[in-house]
Amino acid sequence: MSSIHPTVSLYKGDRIQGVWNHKQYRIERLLGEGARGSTYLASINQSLVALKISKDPAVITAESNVLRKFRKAQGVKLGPSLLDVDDSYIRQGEKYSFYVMEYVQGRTLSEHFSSIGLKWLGQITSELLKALHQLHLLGFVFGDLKPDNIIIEQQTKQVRLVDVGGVTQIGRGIREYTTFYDRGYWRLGSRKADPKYDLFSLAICMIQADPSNRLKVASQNRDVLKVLAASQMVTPFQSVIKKALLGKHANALAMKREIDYVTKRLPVATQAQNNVKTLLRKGKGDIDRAEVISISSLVGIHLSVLYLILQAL
Amino acid sequence: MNKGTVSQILLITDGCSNQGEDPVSVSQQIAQEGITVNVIGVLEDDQTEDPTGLQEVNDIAEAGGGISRIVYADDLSETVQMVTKQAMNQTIQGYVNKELQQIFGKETDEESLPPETRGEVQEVMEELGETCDLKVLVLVDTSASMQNKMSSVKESLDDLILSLDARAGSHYFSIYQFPTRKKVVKELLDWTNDGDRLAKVFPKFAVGGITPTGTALKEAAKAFHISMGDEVMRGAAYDVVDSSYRQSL
Repeated sequence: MSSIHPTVSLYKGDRIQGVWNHKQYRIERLLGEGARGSTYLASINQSLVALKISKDPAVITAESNVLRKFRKAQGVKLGPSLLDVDDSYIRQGEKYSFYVMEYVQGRTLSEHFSSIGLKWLGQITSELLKALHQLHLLGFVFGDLKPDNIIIEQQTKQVRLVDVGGVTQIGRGIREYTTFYDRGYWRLGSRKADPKYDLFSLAICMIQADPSNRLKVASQNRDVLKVLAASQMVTPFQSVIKKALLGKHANALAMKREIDYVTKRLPVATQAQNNVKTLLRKGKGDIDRAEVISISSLVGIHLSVLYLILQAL
Repeated sequence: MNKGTVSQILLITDGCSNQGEDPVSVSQQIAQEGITVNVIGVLEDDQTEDPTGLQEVNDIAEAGGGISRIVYADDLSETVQMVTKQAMNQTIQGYVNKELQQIFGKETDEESLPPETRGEVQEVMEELGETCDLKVLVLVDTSASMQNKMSSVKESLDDLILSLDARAGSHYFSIYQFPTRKKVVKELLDWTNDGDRLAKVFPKFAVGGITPTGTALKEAAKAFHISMGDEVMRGAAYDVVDSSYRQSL
């Protein structure tokens, strides 16, 4: 049954022992929690993993189902392997479901916003579009695309998508969304899953990179196009973003081509100017950042952007 | 696969009932007929999040087999669509578990299956959630204190319809208000799936004084009997679980 607080409190050193597969995990620390459960950093046989646990077993089953489907993607690795799905008794005999996945270390896109340059924004967007296109070809949309669900991996600098709670089969109602990134909220389309839904959310992510950050104000009259016009930092990308908001790209690749076209032609000077601007705004940016960090429901599952061949399957 | 209808009443109120029948026992009766009662309590901006006066909100929903939330008017949109969806999933879950018990024996529910099999059951439930027919009767408390919350209520219903429109299954909603000057409860909009009709309904809301929640619920629930066939999703008449699940165990 659905629970108001599906989060599960665990502490460093707690042992999680699977009822079915008998693997034992040691909890290291909390990585994030949200409306669907809690994610912990855990260890097993000296290696680190991410463990998601929820009081609502349907959340665990649904998300691990999605991860299993990603695993079936032919020749393309969409996300880290799903390592384990099981139930465990916690303390006084409460039994909760959990799943275990590869741990990816890095910072979210929202944590990077204060230092993001235009060229880098273009590159990140382009990589995301490549990943989204693969996802769309599999018959799914990501759904809950937002800066908090986009992680830049620390070591490889790869862009990865986390939290599969919103992943929805094309043609169905979006399972999970966040108000500002939802096409329906801005009255620019339906809540039915189609590839353009993701492109809309991605366009909002790009607008959010602008330090002026006016979405909250604009929510009064629901006019996101006005916000776009006022977001000066992303001016070079304005026409691409507008097309994405209005659903005018045929697919993710079409948007990617336009993003790449603009990115390539960005003068180096623009980027330097932008960095200076960013520095000048830094004080303000830090406040925004703190606000964004607090909304974290970070690690779910990671959708790799590099196309690694899955030989195991 | 047969498709059933999930039937819900969504009560939006801001306070205790103070007249007429006991809403908790009425809610229980309604639930026995296969209709879930969900309740959203709307707070005043200066109210704390756990006011004692709104305890009834939780009690009515619990008796009605539904979900309750107590929120500020600003959060209504998010809450209304979420409560509707979660309650629908809950109905389907309870119903699928009943099926599982028929196949595997009394003690079986989804959680006693191994995780892999559970995944398959989950897919069946998601399929059902997407394709089943859904009837939502929205019962809005229009006692005087609700007056300044009406625009939030309307917005949240617009948002709900947006979410319902995205489903593959069909949906119908109707809107009732209580109280009115002459009657305890009044139909403002008969069963429809046309979201545009919502805009024409809202100016009609007249605001009254007393709060006869129980009686209003009872009257409103009659709307299901008049227009509904026998396919209420609760019995065991549906072929929900594919026979192949037997093999995978």
